[in-house]
Amino acid sequence: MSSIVARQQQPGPGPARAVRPAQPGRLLFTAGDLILVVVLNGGLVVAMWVRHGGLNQLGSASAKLTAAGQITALVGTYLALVQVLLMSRSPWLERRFGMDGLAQWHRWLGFTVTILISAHVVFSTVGYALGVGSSVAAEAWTLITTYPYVLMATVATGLLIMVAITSLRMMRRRLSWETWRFLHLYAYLAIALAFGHELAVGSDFSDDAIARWYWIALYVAVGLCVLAFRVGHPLRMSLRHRLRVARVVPEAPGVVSLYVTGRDLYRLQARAGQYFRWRFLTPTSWWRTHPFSLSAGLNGQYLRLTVKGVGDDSRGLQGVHPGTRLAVEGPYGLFTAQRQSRPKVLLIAGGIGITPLRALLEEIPPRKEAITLIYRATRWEDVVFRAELEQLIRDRRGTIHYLIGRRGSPELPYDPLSAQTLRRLVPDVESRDVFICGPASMMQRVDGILRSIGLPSEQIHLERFALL
Amino acid sequence: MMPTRAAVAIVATALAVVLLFSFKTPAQSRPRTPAADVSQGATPSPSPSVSGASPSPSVASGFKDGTYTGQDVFTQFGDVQVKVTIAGGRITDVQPLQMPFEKQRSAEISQFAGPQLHDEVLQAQSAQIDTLSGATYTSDAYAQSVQAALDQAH
Repeated sequence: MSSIVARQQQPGPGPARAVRPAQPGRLLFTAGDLILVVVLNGGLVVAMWVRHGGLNQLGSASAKLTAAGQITALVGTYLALVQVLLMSRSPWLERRFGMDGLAQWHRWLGFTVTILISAHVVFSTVGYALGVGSSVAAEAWTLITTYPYVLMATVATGLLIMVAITSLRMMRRRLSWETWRFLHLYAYLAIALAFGHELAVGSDFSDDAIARWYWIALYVAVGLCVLAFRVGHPLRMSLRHRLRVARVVPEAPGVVSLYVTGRDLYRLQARAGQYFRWRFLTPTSWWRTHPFSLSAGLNGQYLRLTVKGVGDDSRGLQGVHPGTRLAVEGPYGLFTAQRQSRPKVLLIAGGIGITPLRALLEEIPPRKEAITLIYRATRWEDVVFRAELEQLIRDRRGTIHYLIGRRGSPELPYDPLSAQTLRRLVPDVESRDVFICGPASMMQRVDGILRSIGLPSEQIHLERFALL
Repeated sequence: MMPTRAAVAIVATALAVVLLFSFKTPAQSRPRTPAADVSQGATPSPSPSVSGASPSPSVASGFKDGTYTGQDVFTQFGDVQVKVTIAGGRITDVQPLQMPFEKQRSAEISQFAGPQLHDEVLQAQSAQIDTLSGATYTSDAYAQSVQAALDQAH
């Protein structure tokens, strides 16, 4: 079996390695500071509306609606910029909120933006129609055909609604990740198309030069973040390290490890448990990145990622050959030993979710404190890194529990992930930090169980992105 | 997503964007003196009560005949200025010299509000007119400019 070859070539975890884990470093701004900046700017935008008479317009129904149309537009568009910022892969955001935290905010805010912008369209059209005494339909037609850039803005609203609908859970299940992702990029086009009418028709900007320049500055700031971290950073990383796939090693049915080599790997700064976004420069997959955790600690020689066929495209990764070039960005993720708050540790892996835990295990130094790994998989042949894991656990005088089989099958007659099982396997679970990585449903369940046992959230660490 | 489907979608999107950018809104309509349309229809229908014979209009309001230009009133949407025509001691016409046409929204409001304000002034025979819903600033400025013109007519 080739997996045995891989294990033999795997340097032991013990020897000194040229690893330079990123220093924790003190953050110049805290998460609270950043939230404050976003809220303050939102306040400025609202203040601009008030200063331009937003509140004084509350006389006639027409004026009320028009003013409501303005404030929904201003706040909605401002939040749309925040949305782009959240997804700009800016390390200064990611380090404070985590990619999954940002993604949750992005999801919630995305629907808010869509509702606000839709409200803006309705309020403004009805408000204008009442103001000039024409029908809503006639006024809508006048707006689209005679107001500058309103046609573009109308298309932008349509795109925004499309992006929101395709992100509803119900629709998301029917679309492949790739299709959803492709359609999601239209949000950028929507923001760009809407820009013209904001300055040309928006009375807050056409009559106030300071407001106009402030508004433009917001766009520029967000645009620079996107450019720097979605374009500049990956380019610099990739040119510096010139990564290539050195070896492709099957680990289990449908699972391969990629050993990636390149220049100056010792200069890569990452902590075990973090992930990079990888772009495989092949004709079919160059256009997207895959977030994969490192499945071994940094050693200056190679990077290892271990991948299971998930989604349309990552199945195709098994066709990645030695020699395939990669672009890389990162590292991302807060799933590191840095977040450990107690000396004792429990690691819980579900299926391929073992990969960041495998790297994490390597970084937790051997010491007297207890370390336990629970590895849940449906079949024995899906278990990867078995020899490595056992070696690492032995060095650390830890314990490893395999929970293999389908729940309720003769092989596994009890519920493998229940409060009782956890207590039986790890009697002192309350006093440990628990790192969990696996399918979303499993993580959610284990998270719930741990909370019901009484673990505070600072002791529970989840990695949601390893499976994407 | 198949790469070919993606390519088709990208090309179609690019075409659509080009088309969108080539769409030009008609040049904003310049001050199209709204009163011009209305002046014929307005038929000053002088004094409903007074019997059609001896008009003796100067008694009613005491305006001197002539054409008076009102003050240029500034609003946040643009300037408003009117010219009031007095004949037989009555206000027979109000011509807008300036209405807010700076922006499409203002132009739309002016086109809608102009004729109505014109009719209101003729009816009231003074600057005491109701504010039009949706055209508050324009109405106020219009009334102010009419008042300034009438002040000269005394």
